[in-house]
Amino acid sequence: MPVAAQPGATFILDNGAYTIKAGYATAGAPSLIPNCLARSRDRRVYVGDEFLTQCKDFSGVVFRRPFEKGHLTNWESEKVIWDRVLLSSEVGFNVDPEETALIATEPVLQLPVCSSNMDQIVFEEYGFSTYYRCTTSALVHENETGLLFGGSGRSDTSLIIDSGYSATAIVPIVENTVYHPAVRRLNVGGKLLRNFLKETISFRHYNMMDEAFIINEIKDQSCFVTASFAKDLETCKRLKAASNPLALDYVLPRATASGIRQGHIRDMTLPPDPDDQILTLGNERFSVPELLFNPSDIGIRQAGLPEAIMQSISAVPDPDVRGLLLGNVIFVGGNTKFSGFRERISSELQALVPDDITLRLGFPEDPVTYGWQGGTQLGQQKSRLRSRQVTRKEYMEHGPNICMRKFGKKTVDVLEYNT
Amino acid sequence: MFLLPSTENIINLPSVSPYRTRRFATLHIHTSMAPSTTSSTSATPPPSAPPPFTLFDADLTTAPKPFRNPNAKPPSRRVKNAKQIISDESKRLSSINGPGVVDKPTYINVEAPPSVIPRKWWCDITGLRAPYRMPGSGMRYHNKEVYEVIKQLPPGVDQQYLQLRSANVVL
Repeated sequence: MPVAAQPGATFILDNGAYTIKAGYATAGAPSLIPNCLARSRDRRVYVGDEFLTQCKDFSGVVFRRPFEKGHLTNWESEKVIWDRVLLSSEVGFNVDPEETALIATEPVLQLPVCSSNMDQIVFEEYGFSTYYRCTTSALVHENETGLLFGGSGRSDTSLIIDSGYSATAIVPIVENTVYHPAVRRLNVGGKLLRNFLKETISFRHYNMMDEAFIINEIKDQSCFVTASFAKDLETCKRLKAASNPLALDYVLPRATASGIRQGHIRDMTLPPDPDDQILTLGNERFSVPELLFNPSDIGIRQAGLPEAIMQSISAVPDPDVRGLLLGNVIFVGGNTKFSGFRERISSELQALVPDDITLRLGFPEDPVTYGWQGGTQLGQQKSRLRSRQVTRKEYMEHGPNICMRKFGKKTVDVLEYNT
Repeated sequence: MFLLPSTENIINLPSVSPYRTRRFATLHIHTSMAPSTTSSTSATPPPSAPPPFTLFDADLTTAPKPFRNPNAKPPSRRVKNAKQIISDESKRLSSINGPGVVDKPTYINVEAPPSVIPRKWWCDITGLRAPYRMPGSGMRYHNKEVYEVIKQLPPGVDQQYLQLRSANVVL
């Protein structure tokens, strides 16, 4: 909804690899804008949210994303998308960068040159008045996380697991600062799960290697996390699809006289429509999200999520802090929305955590926007933000290195200025 | 009598900060139009303020460029993909730490720093310590018995011995 330009406001831009969550700090909820340029089959290019509102035919859509392997490499695309989010009247924020404070997020363990490029774009191309860059996990920590555990208030120490599109990041925050030696990144994210499902379906049923968007919808609607993988695999092997309680028919989208009918799960009580293409999903439904827990299933030489959490914990030297971290574990990110995820991660972690430590896991209502909500909390507390942010004047005086110093990274030694 | 060029179609760019990269080519479109052909029915909007007199306007040597495409975009800066950035970063880290010094040994790189102790020589015939060197060929030998043997070697054989430790003369 169009908003008048608000001078002196704080704008929070949770720059995810899949969606951008953007909004002013005074708003209640962010706008979700896909962080991509999409080209549909009729060669029309959609920027960001145009894709969801204007594109009618989702088959054969090719995406160009600014993020690659979890690093923001392509600023040509990202600038186009940011221009649409910040400046266009259709999205409606009408940000006046000269008067606005920006809180932007970057991926965990991003390369310094990519972070530095972002700093330069923010100040030189847009010219924001002040700027603070952090990870989404740091913003999640700013929320009133006590509410997730049946209490209230904020905690100084928490362990944030952000399972997003590119990767899953495990970030321990000790006394309100990220403890960098114990940060871990697991290369399993929504992108890997979608691609694995795409290859599995293309191998077993129909060739859908070009249909990334449709496969993503299938994944969102039909995949779940199983409590015991071996048992369910055995069930699927033993029973035929008709009598298998875990199997499911998915009706693929098709063109009808009145437009495109979107894909959906088939209602088994109704007789099947002969024009529909049906995709029967069996063990793909739970073997795809299983990759979060056992990436070695497809040969990725990394530990699964529970073990990676314990590796991160064991990298924290103080045992009391370990107990505090395990008492404040918060899961955010799109991948935590799978049904059955909570039960599975609770049981797996409980098996690995020592007896004397109380494990408390927090699952926010909306894991995708919880980081943005934390950004609003930070944006409204001007005093805390003032000590961390970089103003335009400081940037003009010291250059991009001041951003690297203030936001907690080593200075990038070689930066070229074209004066 | 000099006629100053018309200032009607100059596009002025925003001011450039000292740190600004040369990202966009400055686009000056200069068309000299005869004043009588501009009619009141043309759709040009009335200017809000008179355009500033820039250095471009004072430059009399610029000729009109009627064939310049006003919609031409400057060539897009080459974008590095993730693989290039990651390899640049690993090169930068290794250059900071020095070629012989590593942060910590990992299972990927087990590099030793260059040695500072004097080099040990080994006899080409016996394999024992060789403090002596044959003056003509440079073969190393253990004692005077080995020297007698080396003295008797046929012509090309000493080079073959040296080839075993890559010290032969290649013509």
